[in-house]
Amino acid sequence: MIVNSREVEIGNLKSEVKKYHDGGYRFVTETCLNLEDKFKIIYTFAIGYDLENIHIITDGKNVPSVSDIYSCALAVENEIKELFGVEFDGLAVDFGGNFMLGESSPISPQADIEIIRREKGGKNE
Amino acid sequence: MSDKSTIPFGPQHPVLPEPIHLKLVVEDEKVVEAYPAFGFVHRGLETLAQKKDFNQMVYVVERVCGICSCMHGQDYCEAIEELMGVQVPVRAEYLRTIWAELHRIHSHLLWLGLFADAFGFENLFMQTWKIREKIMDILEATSGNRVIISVNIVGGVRKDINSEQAKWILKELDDVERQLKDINDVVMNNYTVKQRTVGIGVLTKEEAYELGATGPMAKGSGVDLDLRTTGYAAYKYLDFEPIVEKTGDSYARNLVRMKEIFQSIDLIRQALGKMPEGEISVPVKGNPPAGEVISRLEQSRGEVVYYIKSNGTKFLDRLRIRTPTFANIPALLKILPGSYLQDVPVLILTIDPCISCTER
Repeated sequence: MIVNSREVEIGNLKSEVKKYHDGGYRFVTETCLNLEDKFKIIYTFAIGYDLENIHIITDGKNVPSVSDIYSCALAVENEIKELFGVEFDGLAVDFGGNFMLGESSPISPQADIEIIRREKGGKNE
Repeated sequence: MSDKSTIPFGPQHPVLPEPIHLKLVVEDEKVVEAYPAFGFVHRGLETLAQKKDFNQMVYVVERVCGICSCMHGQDYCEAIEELMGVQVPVRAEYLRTIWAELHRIHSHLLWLGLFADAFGFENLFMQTWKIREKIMDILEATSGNRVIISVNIVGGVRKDINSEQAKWILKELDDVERQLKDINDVVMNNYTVKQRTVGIGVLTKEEAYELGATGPMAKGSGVDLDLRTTGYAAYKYLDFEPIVEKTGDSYARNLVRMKEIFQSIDLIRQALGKMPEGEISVPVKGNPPAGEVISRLEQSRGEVVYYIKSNGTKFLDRLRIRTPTFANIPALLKILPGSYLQDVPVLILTIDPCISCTER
């Protein structure tokens, strides 16, 4: 299907997601995209075989986690956090950067920012 | 009062040749919490979409996973074709379906062998993989390769199956079916298998839906979702019903996979019987127009989702792959707590984890 996504304000994100949850939609995934200096996060839900998408535009800071509504979102939100550096507020389980990345991995490897590697024995900020 | 201990499972563990690490918090012999860690072999294949052109990416996505490589290529091609408004020939739809179902059979048989191995049933492991060899022979004879068969291209397929090959495939499938019927009783009615699976790792229908489980993990819990019924490729021309079991335990997930092997054999027979003559691909010129598309299909492990964003050039802006194993991680984390330590390897196997997919 051609993506037909509706933009929602970050402040309304959780109430919009709650509507899908209460409407019997299942959570499919979240997709993070790099924009110029921002991120677009697309939330995909399904009822039966029909998909619906909403998205937010964010600077990557203090994005409300929807893992308290759909607990399964915790996996993809931890992945986005590590691969893009997006900070989620209220993640149901925060794997602390050790879900997809290891201690010596590049930071935010899929984000359009400079990749910094840890020095041996050092710690990333 | 017992103390809690933390036991590392993996990243290298005899039950699973791929690296996954689980931190298991146990109380006596019972798991109370489980925390996963992936990324040991992450390859950043999604990022390659910005460096390889959209035709080269077909070969990249096939390498997301060896076991369902053909279906990764198919889903990606279907996404690009939708974006470009390309209609593939009907014969190509049938050929894609046949190869996809062959992959489903060999994936389920590979899983069955590993599953048998997980509880020490070496003979069943050997038997299962012996049967799987026949499917690999068919793939090699029809495509030139055993695992990554590279038949899908944007616009159709690059290989055909002639009538002689079709007859031979049907004969081989008869053999596979007969041998599977022989071991079916051993797999599904064996005392040891039942002891290790019945009532263990139960995921209710509500939990499966709520946790976004997919494939046999969801179908084994009574969730009636199988994307093949939406009629992509040649499934719209074939008769079948999704296989659904209701008990939600490890046994039910096994049963779904066993029944799906027989179903796939039937689907291939139907497809070979109905496949029309004609072209197997159409020429595709130019680059995909700017746009976004989501394409989905039913792999052996469940629903795979491809998101593609193109910008009008030959390079994609973004490729995102939501693989079925990734979707089943929350369900795995749900069924592990409450189980006994000895069941952990079997429970992990019952979701048929593909770390290669997860580490795309």
